[in-house]
Amino acid sequence: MASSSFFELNVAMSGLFAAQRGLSVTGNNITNATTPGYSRQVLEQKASFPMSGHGVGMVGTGVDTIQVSRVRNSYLDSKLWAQNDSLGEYRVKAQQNALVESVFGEPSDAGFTKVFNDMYKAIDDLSKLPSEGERKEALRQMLNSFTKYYNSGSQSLSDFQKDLNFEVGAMVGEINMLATRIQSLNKQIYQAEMYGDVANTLRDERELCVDRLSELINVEAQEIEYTAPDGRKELRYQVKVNGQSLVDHFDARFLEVESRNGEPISKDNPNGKRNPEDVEGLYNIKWEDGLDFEMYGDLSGELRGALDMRDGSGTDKDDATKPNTYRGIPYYIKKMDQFVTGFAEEMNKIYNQGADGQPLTNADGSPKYVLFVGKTAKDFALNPEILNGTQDIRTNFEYEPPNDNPNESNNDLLLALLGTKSDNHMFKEGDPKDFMISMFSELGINAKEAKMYQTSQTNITNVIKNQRMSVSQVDTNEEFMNLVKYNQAYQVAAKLITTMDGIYETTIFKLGSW
Amino acid sequence: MRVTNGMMQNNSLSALYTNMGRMDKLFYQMNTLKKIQRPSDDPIIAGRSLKLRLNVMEAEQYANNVDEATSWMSVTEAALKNTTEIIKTIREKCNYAANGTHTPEDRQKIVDEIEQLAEQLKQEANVTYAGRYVFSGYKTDQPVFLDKDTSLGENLDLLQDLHIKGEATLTNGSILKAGTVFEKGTVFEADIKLNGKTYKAGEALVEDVKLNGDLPITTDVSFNGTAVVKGPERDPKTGEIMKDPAGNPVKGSTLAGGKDTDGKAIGSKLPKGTLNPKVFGYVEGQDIEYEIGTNNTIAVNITGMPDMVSKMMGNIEEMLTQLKDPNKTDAELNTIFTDMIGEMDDRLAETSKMESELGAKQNRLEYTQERLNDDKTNFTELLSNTENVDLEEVYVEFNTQYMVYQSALQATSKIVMNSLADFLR
Repeated sequence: MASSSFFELNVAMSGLFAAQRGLSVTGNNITNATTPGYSRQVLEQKASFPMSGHGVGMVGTGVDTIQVSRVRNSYLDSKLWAQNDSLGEYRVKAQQNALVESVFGEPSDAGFTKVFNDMYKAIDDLSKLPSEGERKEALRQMLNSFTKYYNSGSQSLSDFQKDLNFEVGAMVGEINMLATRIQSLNKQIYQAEMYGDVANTLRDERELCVDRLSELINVEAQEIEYTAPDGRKELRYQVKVNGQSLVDHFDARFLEVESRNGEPISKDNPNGKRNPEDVEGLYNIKWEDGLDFEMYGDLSGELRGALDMRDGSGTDKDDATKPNTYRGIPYYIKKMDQFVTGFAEEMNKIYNQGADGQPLTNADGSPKYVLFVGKTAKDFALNPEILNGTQDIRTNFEYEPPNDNPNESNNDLLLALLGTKSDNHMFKEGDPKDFMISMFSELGINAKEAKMYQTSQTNITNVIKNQRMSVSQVDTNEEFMNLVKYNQAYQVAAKLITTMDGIYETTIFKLGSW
Repeated sequence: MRVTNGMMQNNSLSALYTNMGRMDKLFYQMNTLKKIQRPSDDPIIAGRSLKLRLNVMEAEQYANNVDEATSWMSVTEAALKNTTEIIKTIREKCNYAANGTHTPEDRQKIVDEIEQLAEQLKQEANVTYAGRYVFSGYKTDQPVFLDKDTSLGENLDLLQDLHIKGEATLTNGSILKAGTVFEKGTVFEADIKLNGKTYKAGEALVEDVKLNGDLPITTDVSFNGTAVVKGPERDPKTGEIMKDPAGNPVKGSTLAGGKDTDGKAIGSKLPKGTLNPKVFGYVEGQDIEYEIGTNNTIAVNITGMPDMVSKMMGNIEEMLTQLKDPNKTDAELNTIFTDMIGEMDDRLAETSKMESELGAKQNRLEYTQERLNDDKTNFTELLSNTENVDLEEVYVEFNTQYMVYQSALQATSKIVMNSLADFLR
């Protein structure tokens, strides 16, 4: 028995349609070859359900296209997201530490070593000719530039801290933006897939959002199967950041920033200033719905990097205020303050000593002679009266300006000041230069560590990204091949139609005898 | 594994970045010849190089100080040498005068010569380095001998007996201690009551007047002649200032000072050539220290000079007084010179003590200088080893890296250029 007259035409038609669909999938792949986050799509096709051949076996009925699906391995995504946060954290730290390094300008001929040495050289030069005006002026200038080094260093660090605070604000904004985006994509995907389709492009876009989110903050994202009360099963997408839910299906939660108040932090004032060195109005992060956001604990990502650099005071004291133990900007400001306090105290003690070795005092008990003023690196300065020359520089313990200098060549006070250069007891780190050099070394080690982690995290994430690309990325060669493949398939199907056409022509026009 | 051309592009790009990173580092090293740019490049090297840099600077500064100390000391050395020569010459003159017979004219000639030499001695004691009097202790702005008639700006307690010869004024507020002597021939400008006796203005004293009690001066006293104003009582053996029962040092005479409204000194006035009372007796222990090493100072000045020249002037004064005695026989006159020789030997011994003190210091300086030069060389070398790159090494490395970079570029261009599309027609 013969089959339906136009059976072969239908088979050829299915071939044409399949090849055309294949061509359009290929075209789409090629045009999206450079689209970020895009995963290549493939056309799934199978042979149509065969018909019984009535004794000659099943007869094929052509081809069916089942669906266009994307090639993606979600395991690689989660693997990347688990590594991306550390990369983000150390990238920020490496950047910021490099900035801090640039503030101190070491090692160079223009940094601490220079101002430090210049100052002591000026003291020494004056000690040899204690009454010479030029040398006094030189000393005034050198003392002044020494204080300026600390002023500008501390000021730059505070500026960086302020910048970092803006960055924290911007990061929180970006996290919220991504949450909104993922939430709306969840809705779109849910609706698109309600009838069984797979929303390839939308899913690509959602994962791209999580890619970025995973650089900002530690993230966990998963799709879980949910059984609705009516027994229907549906997929719901959940995103957690720092262990807390950010997006759950159609719901999103948002972070907000709140400026700290000016009072020091305590149990009763949890929203206070964390470090006395901090600039005003640094942000705390919390959830808009009022829940706490753990800013230091397990948090990572760029946000953690920025928070560590902004808040890290290096203190390991574990009190109620839970300080940030990283050596960030406040740590270096604090270190400079410590130096200034210790150094100024020691220098002033010597500078205010009388001929009898006792401190000189005014009627109100305040010290009579002061060399340095200011307790922090920011307000560290040479006594303005000395700077503008209204008070002469004391060169020996008997000389009490404005009285005449009884012994112009006596330089015992200057020699005592000179002695502080190698005073091992001034700081627990040793003499003044040891203190500063140990600080530079700490900074160097910190920065090096950040760079190292950044490099290793970059390597790790690159491997995973490569694996992901290997699976999902459009390869133009492959697509060209597909182009040829589907083109040929189309041509062959078309040929089939021409062939059938010929057959029908013969059958209909030549065989007809009417 | 499926490899896409996007992966190859990414990988070759990141390989290029790595290459360029290395190139950049080598390029920086070639440019600056320094191993590191910032502490994080190598924290250990950074810390060490900072310390060494300071060490080099320190060694340079100490070497400067040694140089300045050396110059100061050579000025001192020359003055001491001249002083020795002058005293030797005086001794020779005395030796000549002490032996054989001499006419009064001969003797006068010798005395004139000795007085000339004494003047020269004053010049040596007033020698300066960079405008500073080297023998004046801390008071380097004050000469050892007043080089002009000088008025005091502030009250001054004498620490040694002060010989005044010439025109002088003691202003209101001065206190002359018992034992102060106005010598024979001194003329007062106004009537004055000493030891209860009034001496007329303009009349020369016919004999020495020694105060037997303290004399507070209430109206300015001007005189022309010779006076020895009493300093504090000193232990004849140790030379220490005596203490009162309460343990405080007893005070010597006080010379009143004063200033006019412009701050110009208008107090007691002393004639040129007087031993500067601001210096004399005060210099003891006034060592001017230069730092020539960590916690290592050297005193650049010698403080014994005022004391020695004061004795010297005393000796000459004494000699002149004795020679004036008309009743002395030739033999007795010769003895005066013989005594003088003994004194001169003592002065020479004192000068030679100063010279050897100075010599020891100069030796120490020389030794320090050598050590500092060594230090500087060592530290500079260490610093260079620590932070400088080896030029040849970095040059070779740079070239190697450059070739790697070139071939990476070549390969990348091949990979990126071609795709299947190039071969499909």
